[in-house]
Amino acid sequence: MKRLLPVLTVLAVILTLAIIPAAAEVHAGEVESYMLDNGLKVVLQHNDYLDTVTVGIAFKTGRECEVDPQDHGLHFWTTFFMTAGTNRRPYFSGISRPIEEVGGTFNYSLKGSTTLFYAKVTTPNLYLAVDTIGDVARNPSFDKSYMEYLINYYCGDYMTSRTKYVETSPYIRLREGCFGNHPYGYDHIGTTEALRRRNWAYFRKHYQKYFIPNNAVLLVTGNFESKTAKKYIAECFGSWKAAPEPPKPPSVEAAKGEVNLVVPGTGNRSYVYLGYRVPGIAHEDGPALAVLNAIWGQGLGSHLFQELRSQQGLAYECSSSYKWLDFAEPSMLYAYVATAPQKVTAVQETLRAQAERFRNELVSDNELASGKAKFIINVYRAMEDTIEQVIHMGFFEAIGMGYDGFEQIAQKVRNVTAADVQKVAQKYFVEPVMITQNPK
Amino acid sequence: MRKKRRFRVLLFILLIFGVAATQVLAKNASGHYLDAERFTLANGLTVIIKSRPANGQVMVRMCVRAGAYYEEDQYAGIANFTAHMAVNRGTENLAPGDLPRMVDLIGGKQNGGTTHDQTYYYIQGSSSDLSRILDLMAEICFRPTFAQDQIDEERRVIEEEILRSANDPSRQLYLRGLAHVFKGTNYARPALGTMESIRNCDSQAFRDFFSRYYRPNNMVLVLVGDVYSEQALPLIDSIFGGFAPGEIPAAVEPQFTVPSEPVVIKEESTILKPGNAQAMLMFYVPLLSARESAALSLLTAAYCGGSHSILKEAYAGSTVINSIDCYYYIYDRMILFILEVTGPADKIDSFEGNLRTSVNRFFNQIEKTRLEFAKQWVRAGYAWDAETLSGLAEKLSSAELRGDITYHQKVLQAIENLRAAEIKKVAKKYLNPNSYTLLIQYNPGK
Repeated sequence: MKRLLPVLTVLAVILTLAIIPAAAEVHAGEVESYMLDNGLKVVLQHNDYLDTVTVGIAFKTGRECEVDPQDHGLHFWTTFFMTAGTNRRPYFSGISRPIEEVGGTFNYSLKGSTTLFYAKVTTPNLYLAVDTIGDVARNPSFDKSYMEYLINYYCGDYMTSRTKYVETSPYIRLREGCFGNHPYGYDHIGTTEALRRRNWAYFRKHYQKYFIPNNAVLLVTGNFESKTAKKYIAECFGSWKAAPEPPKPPSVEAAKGEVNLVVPGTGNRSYVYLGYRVPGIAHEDGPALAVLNAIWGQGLGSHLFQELRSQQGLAYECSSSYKWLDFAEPSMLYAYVATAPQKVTAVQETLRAQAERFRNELVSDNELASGKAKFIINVYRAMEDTIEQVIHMGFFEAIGMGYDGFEQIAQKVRNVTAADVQKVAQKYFVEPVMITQNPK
Repeated sequence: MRKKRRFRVLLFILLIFGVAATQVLAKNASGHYLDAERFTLANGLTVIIKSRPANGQVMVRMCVRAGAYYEEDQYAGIANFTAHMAVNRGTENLAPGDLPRMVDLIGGKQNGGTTHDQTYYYIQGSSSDLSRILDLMAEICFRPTFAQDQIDEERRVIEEEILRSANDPSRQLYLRGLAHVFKGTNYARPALGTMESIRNCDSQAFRDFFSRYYRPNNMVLVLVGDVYSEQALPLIDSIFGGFAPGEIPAAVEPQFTVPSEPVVIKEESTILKPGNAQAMLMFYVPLLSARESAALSLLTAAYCGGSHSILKEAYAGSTVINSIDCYYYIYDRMILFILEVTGPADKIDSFEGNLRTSVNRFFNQIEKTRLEFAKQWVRAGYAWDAETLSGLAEKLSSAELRGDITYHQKVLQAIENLRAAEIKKVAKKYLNPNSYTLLIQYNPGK
């Protein structure tokens, strides 16, 4: 007994020391936010029921800066070349390989006004993810000879086949029709001429201007220890120097006028897109447009599904999309149907009639309730994935609403009325852009 | 006395911390995120409940062992057609179209699918609407009405679905592969049926199929998210407990024929882009234990998991093979292993040689570092799937349908100590380089 007591005491102390750190940790759903001295905002979101963690850095910059047509593709290629190697991780493989070798994924995402680099790994590999993102953000090598090789390479077959694809892609033609001379209207990779015109120094200058800590937010979401993550972040980002704020790009108007275009395709299906020019989600009309989109084409109870598919048997595949995440301001909303070529005319007529109905009639109480619920829950559902969490949080940070911008939007959506939905239809469902692809 | 009291207090504290430590250890065990509770109602319905934080959401997934395998030839496609009818075309309490609208009203997301082995339905929505969601699931799975006029209308949608599949080159290549590898069995025909067979499906045919297979003792109900068994189980029992079980007809067990020499089929395809070609080399593999299944997982991860895997690195920059991938599908009665390549149409004569070389590479011992990376790849794949409620629900239901709810956890545990020699043994045992089916499709156009 005398010997047992001290042994038990020691065991109890050891177990206490093991449990207390876990008990003191931040838990599921909790968010911490702070700022480094260099202006880099940090947001940590904990989901401790997972075994994964995603680290992303969102820069508040996008294609909006490509106002000069000669700059089309500048943003995409700068981002792409940042992933072509760093001072410590040469070539693309130097960055992606270590991440893939632990089963992770590294990539970048270009959404409206946001450029995001992210690495998703299992929890034990947190440091690798933080260090990789830090390295890509701070130290892209822009190696002259490698970049010249890459520019030459991509200006060959890649751009040739891309050009052919752009000419016949109905979605890209829809985008052109909606956005016109706005940077969103052009293919995000630009043209061969634009790419050939530039050299490695041009991209590096663009990087130095826009990809700075005080123009970014670092997001970590998943299962990780707060104290450990903060330590890694300080190590990998703390000494990164702030720079002058980049200029805000001038605003450019989207296109105007009705468009009706047919493009050739392959296979035995036709595709019909009916699109409209609308503002982004942060605009006062954004929430009502989100509800309208959900009623029109989201889910098996939507207008598209019920009327076009179930009642008329015109399609198997049909949906609508409000592209607020891809195009911050302006944006576009469209319906899409895949159908048999002989049914194209009926599909076009039905789509136009449905759009017109939104203008002329109030949606019912049930439709309004389901539209609101669907929009909110669809985004929550998307954000089950930690990559989508950083994409969404990064986007809302970039447009100035903060990482919880979606909660603010959700509240506005809950207050949308049937009259609001009709009002936005009357305001924006004008000058339709219809693109049809038929097989040759 | 004081000593005795002190001892009891210390023992009590030790017990508390022991329990807490056990929980911390359990939390970090392989596949801990797949732990779930399993119940069986009196009528045979299997219920699996996995509680975890989900922003107030719950995923409800019902799996019925009623896939295309169980169809009669003349009614091929009826399993998929039944699913369409059950969701969209009216039930005892809901008019056609009402069910999807009611799901929309609660902001739910709904869909489903039919494979050869099962038909599944899911609704994801707010946990506060769980009772409504379960009611709607009961309507789908136990009360569809199969009115003839509704069948005729939905048939047009199925026809569109078949046409869509016919326009997908990868899907067509895969289906033609199934037809050859599983020749003589019900796995050989497409799950959607054909334009002719779906025309045979009338109201009586639906009722017969439905009454035969849509029985609670032939179903698995999975709930994942912000849901707790103490509240959910009595609710499930009140909604589903009254449905009568039934005798499920025994399925004809298929006889698989393994070719004694390679079977090679080359076909032109107008739905592929001009100048392109695609090939799938397929192996029939019998059902494996969790350990052998883990070995197969590691094999595919080492050879084709990510752009720095063995085969992808080997073919990077090749002018003959544009892409290469290997993967497998687990059916209820067998596994289909596929090695797939794409490349230029004018190089198809070299596809077979390259594929055979790749298969022979499977018989090499995987180097230690590569094996470790493959293990991380597989672990990460499971962790990724477990992020979403739908991914978790799918994992839990597939394990249960395999007869062991802990199946995936066993696979993850096996991965921890599998050695390269064992993986090589599994490859040699099941992937015979002289006995495969190779389908090549190409579009010689410019």
